[in-house]
Amino acid sequence: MHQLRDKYEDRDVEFLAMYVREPHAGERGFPQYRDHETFEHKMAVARELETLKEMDLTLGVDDMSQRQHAALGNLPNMAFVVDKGGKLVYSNTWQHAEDIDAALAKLVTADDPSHPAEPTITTRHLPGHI
Amino acid sequence: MAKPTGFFKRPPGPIGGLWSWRYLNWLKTLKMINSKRVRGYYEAFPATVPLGSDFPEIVLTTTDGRTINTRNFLAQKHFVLVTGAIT
Repeated sequence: MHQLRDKYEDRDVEFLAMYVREPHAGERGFPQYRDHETFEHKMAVARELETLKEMDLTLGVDDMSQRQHAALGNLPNMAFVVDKGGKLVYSNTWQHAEDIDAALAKLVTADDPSHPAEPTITTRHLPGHI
Repeated sequence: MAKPTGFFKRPPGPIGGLWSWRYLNWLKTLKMINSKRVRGYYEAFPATVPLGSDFPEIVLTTTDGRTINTRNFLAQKHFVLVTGAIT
């Protein structure tokens, strides 16, 4: 996401990450992470995520009801691209940087055809997390 | 517009997307991905927020204490929203 953010920083694109429930709390590689008990607990883990991933994106936390997460599809690593009109133009159950790049390139090119953008992001792999 | 992927498209990543299995409880994960509930989420995904429809308003509290509302991007900015967690 940081690569995409840097690529589109001078275009009208905002990047937002939404911290949701832990899908694998307490499992083999994550014994120290348990299901969120309070909003403060959830917020603390979100801040830990920021530090762990050296995130430089806006990270927002969904509330304990998870109503908004459910409204989007209830999956852990979804991706959405929304245009200025508020319409959904791309969505996926996993985050594919190439696809997001392609969707954004179309949008910003439509904004300003004299400065077209091309999809350029290629990743040999992309972790399924933020 | 790119189509959403179907159920159990493995996540992008090393080892053909199977990198995450190093960190998971295999039995629990196998049960989960074969459960009606989880399959239902993947099957319902394309229709949950259909392409071309109005994206729902999302209001979040950021880690630095601000409130962010996606409605404020309307007519101003395109935006990318991703969901995620540590595990």
